[in-house]
Amino acid sequence: MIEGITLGLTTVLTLQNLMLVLAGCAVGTLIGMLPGLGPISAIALMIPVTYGFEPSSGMILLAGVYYGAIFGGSTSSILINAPGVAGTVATAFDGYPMAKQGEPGKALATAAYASFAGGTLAAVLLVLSAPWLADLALSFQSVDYFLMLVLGLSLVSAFSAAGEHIKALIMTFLGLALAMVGTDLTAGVQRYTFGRMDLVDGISFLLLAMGTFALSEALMMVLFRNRQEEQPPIPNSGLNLSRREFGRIMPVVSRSSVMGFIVGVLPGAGATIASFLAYGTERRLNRDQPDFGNGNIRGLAAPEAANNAACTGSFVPLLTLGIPGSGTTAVLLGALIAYGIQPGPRLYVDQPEIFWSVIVSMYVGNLFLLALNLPLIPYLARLLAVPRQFLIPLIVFFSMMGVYLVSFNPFDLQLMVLVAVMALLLRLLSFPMAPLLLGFILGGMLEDNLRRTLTISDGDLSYFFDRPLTLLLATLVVLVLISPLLQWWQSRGVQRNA
Amino acid sequence: MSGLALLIFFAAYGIAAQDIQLDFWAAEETFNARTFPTFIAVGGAGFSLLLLLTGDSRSLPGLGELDLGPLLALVLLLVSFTFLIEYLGFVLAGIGLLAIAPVLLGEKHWQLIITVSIGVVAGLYLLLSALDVYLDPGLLGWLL
Repeated sequence: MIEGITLGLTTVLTLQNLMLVLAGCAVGTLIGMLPGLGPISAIALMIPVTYGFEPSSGMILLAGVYYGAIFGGSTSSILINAPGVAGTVATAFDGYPMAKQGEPGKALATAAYASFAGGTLAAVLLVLSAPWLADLALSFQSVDYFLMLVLGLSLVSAFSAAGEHIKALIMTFLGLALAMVGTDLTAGVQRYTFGRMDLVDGISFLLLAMGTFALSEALMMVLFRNRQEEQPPIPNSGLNLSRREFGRIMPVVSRSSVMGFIVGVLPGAGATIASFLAYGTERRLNRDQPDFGNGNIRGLAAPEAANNAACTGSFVPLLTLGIPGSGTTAVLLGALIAYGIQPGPRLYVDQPEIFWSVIVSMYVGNLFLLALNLPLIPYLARLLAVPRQFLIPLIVFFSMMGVYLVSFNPFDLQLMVLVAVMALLLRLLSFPMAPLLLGFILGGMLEDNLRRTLTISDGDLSYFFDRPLTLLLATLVVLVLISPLLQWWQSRGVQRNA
Repeated sequence: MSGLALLIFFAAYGIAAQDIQLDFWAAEETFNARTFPTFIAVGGAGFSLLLLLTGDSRSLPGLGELDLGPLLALVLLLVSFTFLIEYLGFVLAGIGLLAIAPVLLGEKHWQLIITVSIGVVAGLYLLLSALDVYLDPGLLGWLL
């Protein structure tokens, strides 16, 4: 492990890579600050830029973007009560009232310190757990992988908002359906290409990520352009916390970080659930404090520490199993595949410099965020005041360019506009987009593992539950899949009784 | 309504899966190129049916709430951009997009529009050139 950390430090601590972490954090913060644009859009927008670098440098840049975007999302949550992503919704509960009470600087500083502590603790837990899990994963068979992938996809729906479980499952299937477009490399036949050469290589994940997130979000902004926009309070001073305030948030941050990391490791759970869970726990533990929900510093520190720790935790299944647990890590997986790297237990063995440099860059990224973003907050916050009539065209332009610069194929742009319009319609009907992306990225892997499993077992379905691990995974999948049905049945019963 | 549309989509997807060309021996295999798409079609159709049966409480917002005019104009601009970029190239098409889109969204300060559109495209051009990323000059660029 010490060797690995040294290797990671050697890779990250070069001038170029340090500059990339810095640039990633800055760009991520800027994009994440824009309401509606979260880490998925930020990473997708930056992927084309990373093609000019070594894979480890590219991943270092993207890890910086990820953390920066989460921090940027917190800034818009605190200053204008407009969370950039679902993971920072809980931040607004106490952060926004603090800003309204004339303490925007203190609120942002609390968020920065809590995020840093959460990210740091989670990075330590990641260093301890990832190599162990990677070693364990080397013994997994195709059927284990297949069931884990199915469980991950099912959990995404189970953790989706109330009443949206079925919609999340449908979006997962839609993502899987789109993943089948192109050439089946094993059989050598084309599927769903409709005779178009542009579709022979399949749909690019970047196109889908940009279309469903960045571009459709820009169209959504146009649609609701007339809604009142709030001007952010510019924090010019008060960016420090007193010793007493540090003392108040320290235990909260420790608890929330561990909780956030564990939740982050679970596929599908991620930063949103972690931040709500941490906030709820602190609220219960601080029942005697009436200002909870009205600008309590602990209420702000808890979700911030938890969401950052969850982001780090979500790298555990990605790096060790090659299974992304969230939409954001799905995009990162797509980037790794585009670099020609297949994450999973072999990554730890075959390309340790990438494995360890990503882990070390997370810590360095957190350090940079704290050291640089905090003093720059008064300037960065002004970005929130950029008029929508310029902001929207800029988002549109950068997302279109991001896709075009990879393929130089106008068909990709046409398909992207179609995807964005369809995504807009689906979002208006409350269909979540992250499961679609996750299904799309995992579609190929799912089919390969199912193919291998059924070929080895010669079609014998008992292979799916004849070992304790497969039986456990298969049972969990069934339970997760039928849970929405049970909830619907239960709610019908309640309605009848009422 | 959305459940019905999705059910139709997955049904069509399943039917199209049966049209995937197979070698004559592949049809007899346990797993072939049609197997997984068929699973997807059945699963997707099943959950769409469930959505249809359980009833989707959400419907599209009323037209009055939405700013449809600028949206349609912007989508039309994007479609035009996707067809023109091949001919105009990155620089001209980019400036065009960034100059027209703010106007469609109600911006009236021409000097600001021109500064932003040219500035952003020139900045990106310089950045990508520094990173050695190839930029397609477009048909017009090649002719000139």
